[in-house]
Amino acid sequence: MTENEKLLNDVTNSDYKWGFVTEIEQVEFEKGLNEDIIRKLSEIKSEPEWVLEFRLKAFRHWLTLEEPKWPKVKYSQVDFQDIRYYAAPKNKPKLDSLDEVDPELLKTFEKLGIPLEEQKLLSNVAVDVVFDSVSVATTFKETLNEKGIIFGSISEAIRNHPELVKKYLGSVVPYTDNYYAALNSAVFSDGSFVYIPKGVRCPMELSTYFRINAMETGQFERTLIVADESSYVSYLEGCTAPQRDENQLHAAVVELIAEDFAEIKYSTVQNWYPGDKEGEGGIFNFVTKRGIAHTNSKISWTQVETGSAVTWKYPSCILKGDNSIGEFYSIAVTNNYQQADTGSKMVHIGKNTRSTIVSKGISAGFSDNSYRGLVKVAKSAEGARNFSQCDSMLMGDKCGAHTFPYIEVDNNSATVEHEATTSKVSEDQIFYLNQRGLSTEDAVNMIVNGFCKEVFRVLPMEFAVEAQKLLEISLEGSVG
Amino acid sequence: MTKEYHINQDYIVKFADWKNSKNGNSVDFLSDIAENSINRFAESKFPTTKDEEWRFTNISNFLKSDLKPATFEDFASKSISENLFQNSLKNTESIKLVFQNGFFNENLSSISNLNEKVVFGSLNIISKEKPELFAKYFNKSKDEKSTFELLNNLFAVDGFFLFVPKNVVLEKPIEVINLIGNETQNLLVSTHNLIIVEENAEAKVVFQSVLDNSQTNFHNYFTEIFGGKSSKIEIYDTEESHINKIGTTEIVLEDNSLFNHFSFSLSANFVRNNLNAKLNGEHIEAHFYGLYTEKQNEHVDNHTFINHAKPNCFSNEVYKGILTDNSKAVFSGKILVEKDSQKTNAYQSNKTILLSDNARIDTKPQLEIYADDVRCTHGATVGQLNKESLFYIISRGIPKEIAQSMLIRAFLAEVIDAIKIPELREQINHKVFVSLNQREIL
Repeated sequence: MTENEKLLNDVTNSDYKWGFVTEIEQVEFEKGLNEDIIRKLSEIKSEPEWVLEFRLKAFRHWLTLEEPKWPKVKYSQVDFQDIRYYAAPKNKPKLDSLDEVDPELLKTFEKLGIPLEEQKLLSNVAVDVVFDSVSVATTFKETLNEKGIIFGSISEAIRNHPELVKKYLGSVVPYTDNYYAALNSAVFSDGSFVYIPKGVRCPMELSTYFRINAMETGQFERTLIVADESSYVSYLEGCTAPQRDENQLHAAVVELIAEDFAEIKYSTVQNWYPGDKEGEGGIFNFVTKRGIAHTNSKISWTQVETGSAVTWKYPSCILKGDNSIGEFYSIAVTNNYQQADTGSKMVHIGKNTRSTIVSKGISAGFSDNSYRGLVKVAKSAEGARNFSQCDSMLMGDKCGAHTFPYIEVDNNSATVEHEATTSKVSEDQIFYLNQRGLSTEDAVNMIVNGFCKEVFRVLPMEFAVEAQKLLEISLEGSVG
Repeated sequence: MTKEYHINQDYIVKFADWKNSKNGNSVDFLSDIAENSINRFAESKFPTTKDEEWRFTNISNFLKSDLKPATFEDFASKSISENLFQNSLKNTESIKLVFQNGFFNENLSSISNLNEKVVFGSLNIISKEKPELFAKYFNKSKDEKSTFELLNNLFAVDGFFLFVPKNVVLEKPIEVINLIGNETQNLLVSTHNLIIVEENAEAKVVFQSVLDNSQTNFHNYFTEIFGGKSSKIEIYDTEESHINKIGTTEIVLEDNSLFNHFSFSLSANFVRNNLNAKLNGEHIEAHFYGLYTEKQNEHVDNHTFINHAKPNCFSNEVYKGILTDNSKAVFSGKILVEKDSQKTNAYQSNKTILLSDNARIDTKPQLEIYADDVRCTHGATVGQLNKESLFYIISRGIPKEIAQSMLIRAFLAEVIDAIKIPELREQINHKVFVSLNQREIL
């Protein structure tokens, strides 16, 4: 950042705008990444020795790696020494009422149909006493405690349940996995930890939204979800509300472990700042998400991606146990200069394992939207079955839609099918709807919704409603 | 890294020896090309499995085997057994051109009169007789060359040349037979083929590669095809016996042309085909068919790249295969629709049936699309013969082997039925069943 930009930034972001002067007491590290920083980070979080070991091993490995170049995305180099690897949660200025909130933001909230109280929370307005977030969270936590479910931040879990974390951390995504996974393992800030005990069906959808105290998880999030035998959990990550974050690089790791007969449903709605209409700014989202499915278990990923300037994300399932099931449903929308390289990996190891991939890509503006996936059937995967469907829709002639599926089959009893189509919103369809009195914008929304229906169907209900609206907002103005 | 460098060095040394063996008979167009390529070759590297395009095909064994670039002596020393021709088309009237270890053999060829305006035969001879025509097209299909293409530039001294001028229609197919082999040594045979079909002209070419001994020989080919406006071209590429083959086919097409390409790998030991087509005009119709039946430890790798550079074109790609024993197949198909190539219609499908536990397929059908008003679909399936269909046929009193044959025939029909030369269709059909040890259905 040049001097001028900095000045500009300081002025535009100054607290003055809101009429507040908040004294923020912050623990902040100097910029840069080295072993000392990692030791200091670990110390501040008062982590046990083994976590520090894990971080250092990951860091040393990371130094030997090169940044991957194969994704079909272009972005300016990230300077890893120019990042502050630890900053205590910033105290955002509290606002007195919604009137003080940026009206643009409120308009978006309204379109998304977010309840008033929730709006306040999201825009950091002091919440009134009746709707005390703490009390809601408390009742919520009590219910979970009764069932023996552990749900909290991973730092807490390291302190309170070290044996569980130690057993599972890095077991699905080892620190050697890839460049960003190694970086994350070295410097992960915080994230969620979920443990569902044997035979328990989690009574509610777990969502980061309720983990209010830990909402500011920072840029190197680490999530670990363990579903013990015969348990069930549905987890929601992110929210439909636009998220503006100062950090440019996000490198999260998510690990799911589904023990025998367990089921994990993981839904993501991601709406990070995609940069402005000229493609300036925006967040780079480089995520490693992977689940391991043991005998008769099921892992289901659902994602709606509308944000980020650059997305690089392949939620995967390792179908290790016999009869295990992996599912991946995705909608990725790119507009303006956004770039997305996303898809799924299904690795069939156990007998009679089944997987389904349904990916819907919508590109508009000048964006590039790629599906990249792998279906691998190992020799041991007798009777494995996969069906993949990747559909792309193009809006405008300046955008790109690409499909790069890899299919590797090493067993003759396996059946693998891949289908992909690329098309546009046809004039006939729009005409048909225009004729019935719908505006072109509404017609396009309706067609897009129909295109994505298979994915909306598997989202948790209220999430699905919001996601549909989110899609409309993301594509606003893309139809001329 | 250093290892690959050594391999390049090996070939550079071999190139010097090989040049000497030509006995000064080297001042010509092709040797200029070779001299110009040597520096680029020295800088380039042979691909390893770490290269994305070569992930599933390991060529280290080929690079290790001590290959001797074929020289004119390898051509002269060899007598040809009659049975090598059993595979050529039964239709005796067709034109046959025989290349032996890369050199044109006039005695074995049978050439009947073609239209006198048509220029065809040995690339080497034509490069001397008609240097202008030759220089206009030779090596013009692409700029960036891969290591194998540069290797071809170093050692190729001959190949098939065909020039069909405006409005000339060649009804009969031309057969080009490549005989490869030498009793004592592992040979590297390099051929450079050049096919030019001008406006409104038509041609059909059948390439056959035949190996006649058990040595490890490598055929490194580079074929360039230019299709003019409204031209019609059919290319059939088949290989016989346990040949090892790595090569590139570059196709450049112009407005309104119709193009058909067939690639058959029925009993090849090791094949890597790079098929690159540029649809450089409007209203082009192009079909690419592939068929592979593999057994034992055979390996077939088909890489295709179809570039829709202009609007209103249609391309269709169908690759089908049956794998048994420990065989392995790779398919990587890419369709690129460039910006403003509106109204493109592109289809691509790769279907493979695995008949044994140890067979393996890696398939990668890709789309890269930068225009919005297009219809592109691709699909890939991997599976086995449908058990229910098999049961249905068996339950009607038909023995299992025949039932299997019927299903295989039905599976491959899409490709085989598309062959436009009846004799060849018959022959391929027969060979498929021979290579799979299946009973033929009459």
